[in-house]
Amino acid sequence: MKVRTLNMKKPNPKAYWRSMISKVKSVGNWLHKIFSPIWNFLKKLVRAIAPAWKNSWVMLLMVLIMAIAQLTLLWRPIVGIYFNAGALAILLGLAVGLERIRQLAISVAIIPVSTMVVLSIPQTTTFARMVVFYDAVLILGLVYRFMFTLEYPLQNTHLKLKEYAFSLSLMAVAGEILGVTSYLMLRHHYVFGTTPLPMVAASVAVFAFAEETLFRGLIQQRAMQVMPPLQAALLPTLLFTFTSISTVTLLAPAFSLLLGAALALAYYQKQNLVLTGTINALVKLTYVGLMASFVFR
Amino acid sequence: MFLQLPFQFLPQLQQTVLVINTVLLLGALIVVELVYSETPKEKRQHLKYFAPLLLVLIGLLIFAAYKQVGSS
Repeated sequence: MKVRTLNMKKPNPKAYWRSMISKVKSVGNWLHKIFSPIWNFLKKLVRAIAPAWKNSWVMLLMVLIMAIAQLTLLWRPIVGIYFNAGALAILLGLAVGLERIRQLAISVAIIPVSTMVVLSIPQTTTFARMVVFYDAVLILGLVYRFMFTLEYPLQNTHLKLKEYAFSLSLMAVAGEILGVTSYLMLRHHYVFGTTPLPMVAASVAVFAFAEETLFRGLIQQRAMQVMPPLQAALLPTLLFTFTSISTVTLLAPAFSLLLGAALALAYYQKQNLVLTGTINALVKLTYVGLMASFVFR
Repeated sequence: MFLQLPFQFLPQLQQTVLVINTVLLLGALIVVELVYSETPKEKRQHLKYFAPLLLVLIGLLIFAAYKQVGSS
């Protein structure tokens, strides 16, 4: 009996893989034809906008780590302390490793260091705690401003007497308007408790000077050396907002965002701390004055 | 409008901060030793930028030691 055998071709693995490879290549060519114009367009777009976002990752990273530190302090202080120390370590690491952002990173590091100082030297009242915090910020801010600007006096910040007369009155009006806004937003959230009003009024002027020394005089000024003006203005504004977060109200950081943006704009225009300090001090003094007149009567 | 520490103070926080401060200070001194001791002198002029922050941390370390001596 004859056994009928099927005339089946022996499978050829080489031919199979060749055909598979050619198929993959044809799909690859097809995809390349479709996506290469899109890819080229994206590359051109990135090249076009890259200068405007130069070193912006620095701004985002600094805001992110400070926001995490501050929010964890708000959520659970004992955990937040570790995040605060971590933020300080990261900022010092950036300062050691990256020469171009060294001065900026050191300037931002003043915030976590001042937080550690306040936590190490406990105070009984909110006012006393804020005095210690602002003192640490002011002393470190002044020392670093002195160190960073030793080599080059900034001629463009110099104003003549006539310019001061015009700008200061303009800034005073802006400060009064923002001060009234702060009263409308925060009149139910006064933070200084029973501290005598003359002492508060004298202190808030110093607080304003400390804030300007750090946020505009150091952070924004240093940021303007390494990133475009918009990002350089965003950095101190967002840091100011996050360091104003409190358990009492969300209106405090909201107003800080508004005030920080106005001060950053004023500093960008004139690069003069006397002018921004005038706005900030008048905002705080107007707020305290209106509280004294209408709430504590 | 004002910079805030958004919590009430507890003595436990103070202890933790003083310990973390010591760890950070030691870390910073080790980095200074490892990174900068091999760097030529003319290239480490910027080391002075870190001095004020390190001085504050050293001040807190002294305060922690004083507190320990005072409580014992």
